Amino acid sequence: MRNLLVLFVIGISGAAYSQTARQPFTITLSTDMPTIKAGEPVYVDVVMRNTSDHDVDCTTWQNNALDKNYQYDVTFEDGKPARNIDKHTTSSSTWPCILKPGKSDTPSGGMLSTIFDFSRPGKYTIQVTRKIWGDENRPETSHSDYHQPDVKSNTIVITVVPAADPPPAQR
Amino acid sequence: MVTKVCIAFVTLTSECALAQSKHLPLFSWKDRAHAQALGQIGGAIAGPLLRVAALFLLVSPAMCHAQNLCLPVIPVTSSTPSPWYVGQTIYAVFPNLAGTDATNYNFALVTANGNEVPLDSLTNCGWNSEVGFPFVIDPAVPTETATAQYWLTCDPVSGPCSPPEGSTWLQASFPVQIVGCPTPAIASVLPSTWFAGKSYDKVTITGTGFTTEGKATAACPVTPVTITAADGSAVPISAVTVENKTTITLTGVAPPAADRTETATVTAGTAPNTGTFNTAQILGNQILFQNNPVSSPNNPPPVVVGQQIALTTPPLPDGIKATSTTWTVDGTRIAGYSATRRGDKIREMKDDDFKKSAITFYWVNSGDSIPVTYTYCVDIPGVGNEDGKCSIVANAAFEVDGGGTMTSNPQSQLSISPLTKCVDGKPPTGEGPFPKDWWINYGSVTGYSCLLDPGGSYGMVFTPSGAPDGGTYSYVQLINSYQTRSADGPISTGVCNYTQGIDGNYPYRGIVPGTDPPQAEDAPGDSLTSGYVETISFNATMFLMWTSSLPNSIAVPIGYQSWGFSGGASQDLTGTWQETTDPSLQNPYAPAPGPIGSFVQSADSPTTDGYTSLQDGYPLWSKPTSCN
Repeated sequence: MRNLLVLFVIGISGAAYSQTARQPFTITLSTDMPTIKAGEPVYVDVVMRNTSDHDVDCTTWQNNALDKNYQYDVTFEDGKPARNIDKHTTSSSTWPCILKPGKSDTPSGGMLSTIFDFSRPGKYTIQVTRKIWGDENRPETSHSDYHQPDVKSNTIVITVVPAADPPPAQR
Repeated sequence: MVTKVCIAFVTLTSECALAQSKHLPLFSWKDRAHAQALGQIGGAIAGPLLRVAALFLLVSPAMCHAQNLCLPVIPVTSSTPSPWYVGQTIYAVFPNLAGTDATNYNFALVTANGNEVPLDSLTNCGWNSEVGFPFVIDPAVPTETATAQYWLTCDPVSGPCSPPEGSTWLQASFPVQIVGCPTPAIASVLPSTWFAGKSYDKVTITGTGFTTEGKATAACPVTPVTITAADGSAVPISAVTVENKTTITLTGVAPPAADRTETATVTAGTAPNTGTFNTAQILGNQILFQNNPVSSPNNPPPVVVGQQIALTTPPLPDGIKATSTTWTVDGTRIAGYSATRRGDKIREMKDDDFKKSAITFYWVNSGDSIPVTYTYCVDIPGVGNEDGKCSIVANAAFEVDGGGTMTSNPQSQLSISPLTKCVDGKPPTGEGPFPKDWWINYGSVTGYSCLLDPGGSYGMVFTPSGAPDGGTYSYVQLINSYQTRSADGPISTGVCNYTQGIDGNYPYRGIVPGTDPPQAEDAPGDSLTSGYVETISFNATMFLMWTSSLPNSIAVPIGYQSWGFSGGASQDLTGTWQETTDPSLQNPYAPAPGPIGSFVQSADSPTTDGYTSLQDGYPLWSKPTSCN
């Protein structure tokens, strides 16, 4: 019974590794303002890096100061999702982008506070996800890759201090 | 019979001229009759004799005629008064040799350590048995004690020798005090620090052993002074005045402007009787770029806009500190530039930046022969002249390459097209058909809301050209005004007024894939809601930037192009969307789709592009545009 359990764990790990290894790009999340006052805008930078041996699409869907081709997960320190305040503005620009193998993109991301409420002082944990999509008209993935898991970024923490607090020291 | 044989010297040229051959036992001559009067003295001074023997091979009887006397005359005898001065004419007169077999007279001065004193013959003063043979002690001989020796030898050619051939007879040997030219010694030079390119009208040398004009002789002339820079070049001096034996005044000491900072040696006197002062200092003034001098007369290499220009100057010598340093840099130059979507920062040069011994900056605009100057001042007693204690101005003229342009390819109208809805941030998958949204775009695009099909027509495409080789183009787009409105009849239900700011990120991400140089594009759009009338007006300025590939370069603006559009969409009775171009809908900033005005080259003077502020040609922003 114990041996079966070990094999089962190894099997799961191998499957997870296999999926991760096939992901064609990585995304790195960062901010140059990890501490802000309540009410100030929150900015994040997202950088894609093509880790595959083929072109990767990195199109930006610029909508209200944010690249909506990423999904942004923001969790308050109490473990609950931050309040979504997205106005779902109808106007946008779509900027095609092709990332060559081994190359990194210029920063995308944007003003995260256009879609999440950061007015409450505390710590916000942020992670970014990007879908892997395929289309015959574009480089990158094929339809067979549709079932790959989304590519997730690292997580960062942004601390919101009360507006009356002294200005935070920025790195 | 009297046989006289002179030593053969060089051809006579002028009276009392010094012979060209020096450092020989001065003379030896034959006088058979006189020699016969001398008894045998015995062998001595073999060394000089060898030289004498050699000289006999050069005998020329034609030279043995009596010539004019060269006074003063000091007869060489054992009672000859001493001292003997260098350069003073001395005549050797010897006793009658009649009755001896001696045929040759020989004479030498030998120092205590056995060295012969260099003697110079006076070739045209002649010789005769009554006066003697003239000579001078070489002017280079220092003051010292020597022994005068003369001796006799027998030459069998002139007759039988008794004692035998080869014998010598020491006739006399007596001490002589030789007085050489004074040897200068320099104790101080004031001032001894000179700026290159300046002339110093009074430089005072103090010391000892200087020969004034009044004391000068042909052998010991007025003390000359030379100044030699460390690189071996001579420092010009207009005039040297020996005031007295302890003071010399120099006028017009003028190190050339191109001289670098280096030491110099002041030399007084003539070799070997010289005194030196090795710690004089020339203070040059050069501008260095990449460790090479670029100030006149040198030329700097071509540079490009945005290239880091780090200028330095050679270090001053130990013990000398600049009391002030001053740079001037023409053209539009800045200390640095950085940008993010949260804003950009042009760091202007500060006053202190121009008051250091090195300066680092970036030129924003191109230009020909853009001048850069540098001066510095020191505080050393005696340094400086009427211009003060400051260096000359070092000038450099830089050729700054840059420029470029940007063309635009605009669409003439807006279009309405269906775009497939993206689901959870990606195109839908599986079996279609998939739901579509109708969009009004500037341009003609297809595909998905989040992912356009290749081959679409963007409303605006910008193409750069003309920048120097070895760099990359980038773009910054600032939104000047942007409004979308949805109206249900007379009531506007959704209005979005975008704030002024950067469009997305820095740099602009709307680059047409695969283009080199990179082309920027934009096809702003708005999704349409059935039953509503949509209007959109858009005004932006696209800035073309360029960054050299040289290390530490910054992005610089090349120029900008404003553009915009306005229009709308409404449904007809069948529900079909129609694009409208009603002029009444058009924003006054965007009268028609396409460029507004023409491309404007960046320059330092304009403070606005008509919509937002410019600084040194750079666009300014503080945040991304967003919907209020």
